[in-house]
Amino acid sequence: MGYTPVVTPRCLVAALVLLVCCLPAAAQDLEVASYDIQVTLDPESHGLEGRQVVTWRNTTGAETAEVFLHLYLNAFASSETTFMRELARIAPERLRRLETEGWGWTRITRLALADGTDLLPGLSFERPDDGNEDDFTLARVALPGPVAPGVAITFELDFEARLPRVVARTGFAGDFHLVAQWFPKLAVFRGEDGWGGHQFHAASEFFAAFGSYRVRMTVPRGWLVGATGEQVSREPVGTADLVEHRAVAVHDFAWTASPPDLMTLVETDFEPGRDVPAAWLERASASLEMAAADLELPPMKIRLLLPRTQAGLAPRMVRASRLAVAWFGLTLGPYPYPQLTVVSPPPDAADAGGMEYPTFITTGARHRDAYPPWSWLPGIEAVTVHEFGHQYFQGLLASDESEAAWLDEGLTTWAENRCLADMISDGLVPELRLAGGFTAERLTVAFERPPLTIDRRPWQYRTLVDYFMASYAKAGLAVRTLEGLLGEARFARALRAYVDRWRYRHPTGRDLQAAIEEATGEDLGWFFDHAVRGSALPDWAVLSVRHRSVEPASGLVWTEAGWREREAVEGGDELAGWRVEIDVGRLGELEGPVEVELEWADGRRERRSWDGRERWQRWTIDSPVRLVQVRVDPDGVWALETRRADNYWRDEAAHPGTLWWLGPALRLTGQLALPWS
Amino acid sequence: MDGRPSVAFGLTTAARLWRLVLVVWLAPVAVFIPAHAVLWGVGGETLVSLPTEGLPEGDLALIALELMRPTWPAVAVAVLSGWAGLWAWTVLWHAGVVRWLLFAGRDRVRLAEILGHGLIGWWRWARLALLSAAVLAGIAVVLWQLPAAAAERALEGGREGVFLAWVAVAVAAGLAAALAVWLATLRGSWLLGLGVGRSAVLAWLAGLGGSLRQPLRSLVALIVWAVPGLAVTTLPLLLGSRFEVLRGGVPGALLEVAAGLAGAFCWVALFCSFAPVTGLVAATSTPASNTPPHPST
Repeated sequence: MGYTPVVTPRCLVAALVLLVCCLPAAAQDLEVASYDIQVTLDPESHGLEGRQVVTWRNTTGAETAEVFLHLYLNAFASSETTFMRELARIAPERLRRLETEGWGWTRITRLALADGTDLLPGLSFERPDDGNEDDFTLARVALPGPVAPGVAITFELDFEARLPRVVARTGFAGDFHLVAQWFPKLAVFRGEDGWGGHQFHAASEFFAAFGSYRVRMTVPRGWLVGATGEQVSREPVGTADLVEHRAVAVHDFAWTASPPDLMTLVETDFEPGRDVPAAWLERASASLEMAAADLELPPMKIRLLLPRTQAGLAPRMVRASRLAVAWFGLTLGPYPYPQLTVVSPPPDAADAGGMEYPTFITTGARHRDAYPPWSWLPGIEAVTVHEFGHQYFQGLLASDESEAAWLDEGLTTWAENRCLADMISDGLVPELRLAGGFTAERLTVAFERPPLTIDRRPWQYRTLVDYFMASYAKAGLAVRTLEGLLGEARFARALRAYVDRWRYRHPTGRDLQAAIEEATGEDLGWFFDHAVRGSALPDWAVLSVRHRSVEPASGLVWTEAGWREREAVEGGDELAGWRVEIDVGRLGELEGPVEVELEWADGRRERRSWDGRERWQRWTIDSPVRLVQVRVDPDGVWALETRRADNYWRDEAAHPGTLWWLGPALRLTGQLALPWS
Repeated sequence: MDGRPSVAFGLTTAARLWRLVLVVWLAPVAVFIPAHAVLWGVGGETLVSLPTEGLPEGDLALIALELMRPTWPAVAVAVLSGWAGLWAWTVLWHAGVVRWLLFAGRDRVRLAEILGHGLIGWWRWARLALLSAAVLAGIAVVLWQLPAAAAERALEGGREGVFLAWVAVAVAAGLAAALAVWLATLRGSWLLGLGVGRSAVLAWLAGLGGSLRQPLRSLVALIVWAVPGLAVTTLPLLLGSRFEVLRGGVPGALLEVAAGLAGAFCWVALFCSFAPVTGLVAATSTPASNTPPHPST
């Protein structure tokens, strides 16, 4: 295969200039850690041999005489690493897979400053999280002298590595290779707080500084390659191909390589005039209070790599990708990169699916997804939308996932569900018949014991299940609740403001809170302190409803003629109606405003608001007709609330046949006895 | 010793046995009373309080989970006991009808007589029913072990086409096996009455053999009665979910009674359709042979 220029370096420079111009406040943060890497993949041993030149700029106000490097592949080196100990608790079969099919590891063979100073003797391993002596995923390198603020250093590094059999996010399966967390990678220097590196945990993902990447990958001749950034060139070298990719303003680089008889490539694009649904544009314009012209999205390329056996699903994957680009672009701002690479791993590499890297996501599908009932489920759309959502919360904002995974996973889970709901309600994916919005998350959180705190380090949860429950489901519900409390349009503007302000700047949970507070003008400390940084749960209830017939008043009444019998003045003794006492209560610890809907026998409905600070609230209402129904939080604003049975009260006499279906349903199940009798 | 299934015979016999049809209709109502009571006790008050429409997304599932989590053992026991009761009752009337029709005379229908015969023969027919359940469970295990394991291996090897083919094989084989077991049980029940080897196993095997020899006729009889039987049983739920007037109340109750009776008629007719009417019934049901052929029964 000859030299195939796809994107010229001049284009990349222009793109970088554009990014920098668009984001003057963030410009200095876009070139903190940059890499120039050459790597060769051996398809037989699944080994890597690499050489990289790393330039690190100290953009903080403090000096340092050390650097920290992540050696993530060493998480797969033995059963005793911190990652594998944690993973084996819930997925021991993955450990067995490594035992039978090979471990993964990496080793730095040369490390020197640009002037030739050997740094390798100063390399040691750090275990700040658990002191596990069998963990080699975080290395500290002593420098010969301090690096002052604003100064950049360059060092060269040779490494060799072996990919593990895919168990989590990286590795090989047959000839399929997902090469992720593969190169020695700088941790993030936080100034006075030092280097923020952590060991690689089963329950945490990544955090790195922005930079530019030039990566030259040598792969077997003809193999398909997908990678972060854009392909600059591809040329034959001996019996192999040398593929060069470049990426700017990203904080990681992942790639995949597979033979063309296993995978196939679909090259397509996102064309806003064709791919942005008019209803979405109209809705975004209204909620964000922006002109449609200001919401215009740029075109971009989409490269889809998928197993040949799933070729029939390509149109659905492409459609999901385009819709995701449109939804996130309208909601959070344009996707700033010129290309997105989507990889659907083959079935035996399913554990490589559902992962995000800058401009590069892995999804997941099965051949069966082409057929009912699987085709009715939103599997392809859900994973594509979710992983693309990470391009914003993990890719652009780049919060520290080792400290606060919920900032990425929770916001992405919220966005995934909202995007899927829009896809379905607008009929954009006609195949979908079974999708439950936030139902899965609510059912998941209903099982939390004890109540979980959303904002905490991922590996500090009691179990991996707790981590997923808190960081994905519960955090997503917290965002949904906040959206409900603020109103969809206000929340949309606030979230957009957060993304605009913090892209490329690694925001924290408090930054999110401050951005939303500033955009809405509301103090939300009560919510973040208790629902996010605490473990308080909402739980509302109808405590009681009492009807008392209102007797006519008795006694005397004062008139101009003096005291007279009330009956003589006011007429007969007909009942005046009902005096209704409604008590609603707060059974949970989380305080907050809640709506209560009352429905009367004459069909009239009214809404009352309660600030939810006290433990209970009583309303006494005189009415000519009975109250037939009470609903606390009738719109389901409090998505975090999972005990909803007592949120409803209904005058049973008015609806005696509610459970009409119970008997027929039981008898229908009884027919199961027939074939065996 | 075999006969051909006859839809017409099933129809006329079920019509003659209208009292039995009534009881077959009432039995599911009775056996599920405990389950109904437990479910009502667990969630009746809450479910009655729910709005009929406009529940926020996910609330119904959450409420069901909230109600069932602390009480699922009691609910499971109640529902399972209902199923067990229905199974025992079905065995009883199957045994009763066989013994009555084959040996007690066909001119005069006495419900008590049928039930009495059922009580006497219950254990023999229960063995047959247990055998059919065991066979079905065994088939399920085999299907899981062979096609499912092959499918899993294909999936691990990235051969999704092979995986889908194995899944299709497993589903088709499962359906075919379930139908075969049902037919064998229906036929075997009658052959057991005729005293095939005095053994439930032999009767069941003979029933299976007969069904395989006459697959079309057997399947037609099954489909003609089982499909409408299941359909009318489902009807109150389907119509009730669509038309509010049919949810409870007099119209709903009338619909349920009508559907229940029609369903019961179908089940009785289905069973009687497999009576060996060609020769054997006539030969064995003379007044002179008005006793069971086996002293042990």
